Amino acid sequence: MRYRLSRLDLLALLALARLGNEAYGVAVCEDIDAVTGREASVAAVYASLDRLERAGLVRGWQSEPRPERGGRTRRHFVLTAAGRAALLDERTLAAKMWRGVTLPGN
Amino acid sequence: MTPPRLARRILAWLAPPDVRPWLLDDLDDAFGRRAVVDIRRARRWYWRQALGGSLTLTAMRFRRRALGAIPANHLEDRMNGFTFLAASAQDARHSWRAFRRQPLYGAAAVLSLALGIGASTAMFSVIDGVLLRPLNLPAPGQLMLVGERLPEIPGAEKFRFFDNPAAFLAWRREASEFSGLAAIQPAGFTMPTGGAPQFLHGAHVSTNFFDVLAVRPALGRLLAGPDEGDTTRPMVITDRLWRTAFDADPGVIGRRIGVPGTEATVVGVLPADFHVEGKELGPMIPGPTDFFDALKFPKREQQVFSDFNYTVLGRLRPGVTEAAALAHLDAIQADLARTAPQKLHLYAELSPVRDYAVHGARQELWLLFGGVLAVLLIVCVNLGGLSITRAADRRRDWAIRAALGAAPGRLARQVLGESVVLGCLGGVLGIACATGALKALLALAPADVPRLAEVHANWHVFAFGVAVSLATGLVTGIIPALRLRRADPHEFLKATAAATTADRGSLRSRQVLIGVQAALSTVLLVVAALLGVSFSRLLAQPTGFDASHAVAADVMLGAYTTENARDALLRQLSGAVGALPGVTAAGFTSQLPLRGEAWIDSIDVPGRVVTAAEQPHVNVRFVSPGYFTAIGIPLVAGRDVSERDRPSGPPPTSAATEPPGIIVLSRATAQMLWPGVQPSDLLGRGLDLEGHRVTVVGIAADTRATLDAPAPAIVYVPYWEDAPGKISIVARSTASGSVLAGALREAIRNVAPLAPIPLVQPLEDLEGTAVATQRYQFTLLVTFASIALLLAAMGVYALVAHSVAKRRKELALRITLGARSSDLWRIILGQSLLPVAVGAIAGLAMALAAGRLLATLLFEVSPTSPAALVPAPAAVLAAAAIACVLSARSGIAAQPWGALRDE
Repeated sequence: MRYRLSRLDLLALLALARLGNEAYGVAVCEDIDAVTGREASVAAVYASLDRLERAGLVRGWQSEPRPERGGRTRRHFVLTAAGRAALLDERTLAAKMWRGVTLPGN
Repeated sequence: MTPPRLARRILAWLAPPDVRPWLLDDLDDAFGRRAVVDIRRARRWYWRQALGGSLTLTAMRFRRRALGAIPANHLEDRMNGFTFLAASAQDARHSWRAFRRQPLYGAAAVLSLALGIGASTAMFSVIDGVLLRPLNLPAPGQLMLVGERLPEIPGAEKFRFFDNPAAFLAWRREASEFSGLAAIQPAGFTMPTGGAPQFLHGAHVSTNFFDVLAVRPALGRLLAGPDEGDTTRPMVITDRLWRTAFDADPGVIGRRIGVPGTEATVVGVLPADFHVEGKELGPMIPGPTDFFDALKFPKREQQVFSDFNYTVLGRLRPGVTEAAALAHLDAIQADLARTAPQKLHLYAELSPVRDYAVHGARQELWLLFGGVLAVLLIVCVNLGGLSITRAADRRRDWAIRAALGAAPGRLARQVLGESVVLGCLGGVLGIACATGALKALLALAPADVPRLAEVHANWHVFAFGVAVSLATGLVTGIIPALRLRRADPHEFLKATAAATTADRGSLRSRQVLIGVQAALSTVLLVVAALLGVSFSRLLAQPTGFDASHAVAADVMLGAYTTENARDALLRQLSGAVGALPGVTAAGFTSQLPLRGEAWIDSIDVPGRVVTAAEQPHVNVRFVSPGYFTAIGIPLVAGRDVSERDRPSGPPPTSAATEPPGIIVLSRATAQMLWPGVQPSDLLGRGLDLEGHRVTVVGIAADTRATLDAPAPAIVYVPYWEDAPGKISIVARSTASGSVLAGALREAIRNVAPLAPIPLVQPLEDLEGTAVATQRYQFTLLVTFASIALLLAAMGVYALVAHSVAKRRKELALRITLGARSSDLWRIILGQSLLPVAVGAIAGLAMALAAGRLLATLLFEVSPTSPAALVPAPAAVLAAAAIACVLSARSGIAAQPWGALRDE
C-alpha cells in the first residue's frame, strides 16, 4: 500500500530536499520553523522521519564524528528516489488541483 | 549550559532506545545554540520540546513494538532473553554473597518484611473472605433482601428489613420479577444433652427457602411445602451441628430430637460449605444458625402496619434488574397501604444479600487494611534507607566494578535484585506467619464482623502474599537502584575515602525516606488517636445502671411451652437466686440494657388523637419485682412492680373485662408522652399499650440500649403479662463475680432443669461487649501506629548514626576550629529533624483528608479534632528527636583527634 503523506511528512520531505546532505533532526525542524513561522516538535519530526524511512522515502545514515573535541556522530537523512518521486507527485497533484481555482477576495 | 535535567530525563525515558541518543544529542546541540542567545528562552524551548514530544514518542514506541525496529547497522545490541537470564542468575548469586557477608542486616530485613507481609496477608484474607468473595451459592448476585420502607415513621430507618407478613404474602403473590421469595424469622431450640441442656440458634423459614437459595442437601432432604403443617416439626440441621452433636452419624435422618413438647424430626443435613447465616439472613439473625424449620405465620389476620417481625429474601429472575423489581414492589406496597386505615405511605427497598451483610464492616476492614499497608510501606521505606546506606558504603566496590566495565544499569539491577531476594525471603516467612496472624485477628475480632466463618487462607490470599512480597522488594530497591542507574562511574571513582562530608545524594534520598516514614506514622497516629478518643467518649457514656458487683445470666425457657409453666418457673426463679448467700438483690428482665432495641410497640395516651406518623413507640421490657434494685436503675418516682400487682381470680375472658395492668416508664418515655410534666405527677395516669389499659406506678431513670445513641423510650411491664421465653437474671452481691456465677447457674438449674443458660457474665462485660468493635479497631490501630513510630524512630537513628560516622572528620575539624558542641547538635538535628517535621506536616494533611472517610466510625469526635491532630505529629517529632540524640551522642562527644588521626 502506498504511504500517505501527512502535512508534517510533506514539510519534512521538502526540508530534506532543501538541506541536501546537511539534513538531520533538529536542522529539519528548524528549517520547518523558519518557513512556517511556527515551532515544530523535534520528537514529531523524528517520528515523521521514522515513518518516512519505513516507507522507503528517506534513508538515514550516520555521519562522521564532528570535527570538534569529543565530537559525536549524527544521524542524517537524505531523500531516496522514491522520496523525490513522492514530492514530485505531490506538486503535480497540487498544481492540477489549483488549476482554474480563483478564491473570492483574491 | 546543560538542558533542564528533568525534561531531558523525560525525553530519554520516552524515546525508543535506537532513537534516543540521536534525539538527545540533536536537542542538546540546538539547546546549546539557543542558550548562547537567551538561556531562559532556551530552557523554555527545551521544556516545550520535552512535553510536546512526549505523546509522539510514546506513540512511536508502541508503533515500533508492533512493527519491529528498522534493521540497521547503528542499532545498539540489545540484551536477548538468554543473556538476561544469565545475568539475573549472576545477580542472585551476588546478592546471596552480599547477605552472607552481613547476616545481621539480612536477618533484620527479612524479619521486618516477614512481619509486614504476614500482617497484611492475614488482613487481606479477612478482606477477601468478608468483602470480596461472593456468597457460596449459585448466582449470588440475584439474591436480594426485600424490605419495607415507612419514610413517615421517625426512627423506622433503624429497622431495615423488618417485614410484615401481609406484605410478604402480597409480594409472593404478585412480584413476578422474583423466581422465589422466602420469609425468615429467628428461632431457638433446646437440645438436651448429658449435662446442661444446650441452646441452639436457628431460623424458621418458609418452606421454599432452600429453593430460593438453590442449595442441595448433603444428607436426607431439605424443607418442602407440606412441612409447614407437619406437627412432627421437620428440621434441617447444619453440617456443624451434625458433627458436634451427632458425631456425623448418617443415621440421624428421621431421629426425634429435643425435649418433650418441643421435639423436632431431623430430615436433612446441609452441606459443609453452606455458610449463609448471620447477617446474610437479615438483621434479625445476627449470628451463626444451627437449624432451619418451617415457618408458620400466626393464624390471626395479617395487618399491614404491624408485626414487622420477618425478613424476606428473594431471588431475582435472570435478566431482571433491581430497579425494575423495586418499581413493582413499590406499586404493590402502595396498594397495600391504601387498604390500611392509617394514612401512611409504604415503599419497598432491596439490597443484594452480601452488600447488606457486610455494609457495617466494610469501612472498618478497609481502614484496618490501610493501616497494615501503611506499616508495610514503612517497613519498605526503612529497608530502602538501609539499602541506600549500604550502597553508599559500597561505593568503592561499585566504582571498581563500573571501571571494569559494568554498566550502571547492571549495578542498579543488582541492588534491585538484592531487595527482591529480600522481599521473597520475607514473603516466604511472612506467608507462613500469616496463618498465625490470621488466627489472632479472628480471635480478636468482635462478633459483629460478618462472614468470619468464610475467612481462610486460599489461593487468593497466597497470590496476594506473593504479589506483596515482590512489590515490597521492588519498592524497597527502587530508590537506591535509581540512584545507581543515573550515577556516573566517574563520580564513583572521584568519591574516595578522603571525602570529609557525607555523600550528598544519598543523604538527600534518605531524608526523603525519613520524611515519608514520618508522614505515614503521623497518619496512623492520628487515626489511632481519633479512634482512641472516640472509644473513650463511648466508655464515658452513662449507661444508666450500676455494673459493679452484679452478674447476669441469660436463661432460655423455650422448653417450657405453656405460658402457665413459664410463669410458675419465673415466679420461683427470683426467689431462688435471691436466696443465694451474699446476694443482696435479684430480678430479671426480658432484655438487658446495651443489648439494643427490641420489642417495639405503640403506646397511646387515652383520649389523645395522633396521626399515624406521630404515633409514639416504646421498647417493652418484661421485668420481675426487684429487677431495678438488682441492676441498679434508680427509680425517679413511684415504686417498683410487685407480686401484689398480679391480678387475682380467674383469668379474664376478654380484653374488655381485663383489669388494668401496671407499668413503669423510663424517664425518656415520660418526657415523650408528657413533655415538661414532673415525674411524680404522672403516677396513677393511664396508658394504652397495644390496646391494653395500664396504670403508671413508677418512673425509672433512663438506660441505654446502645452506647452511641441516646436512651430510647422504654416501658417496664410485669413479667406475668407475657411470661417471656428468654430472660436475663441479674444478681447483685457482696461476693466477687466469679464465685457468684457458679452458684447462680446452679440455682437456676435447680428450678428450671430444662432451661439452657448460654451465658453468665458480670454486668461490666455488657459494656465491654457493647464497645467490642471500637476496642478492636482501636487496639489494632494502636498496634500499627506503635510499630510505625518505632520503625520511623529506627530510621532516624540509622540515618543519624550513618551520617555522624561519615562526617566524623568534618565534625572533628569543626571542633578543632572552635565550633561548640551546640553548633554540631544544630547541624545534626537540623539534618534529620527537618525532614521529620516536613513529613509530619504532610502526614497531618493526609490524615485530614483520610478523616472524612473515617467520620462514620467515630463517636462524638470530629476527624479534625485537635485532641488527635496535635499529639500525633508531636509524638513523631519527639520520637525522632530522642532517636536522633541517642544516635548522635557518642559521635559528637568523641575527641576530635581520634578522627583526624585516622588518615
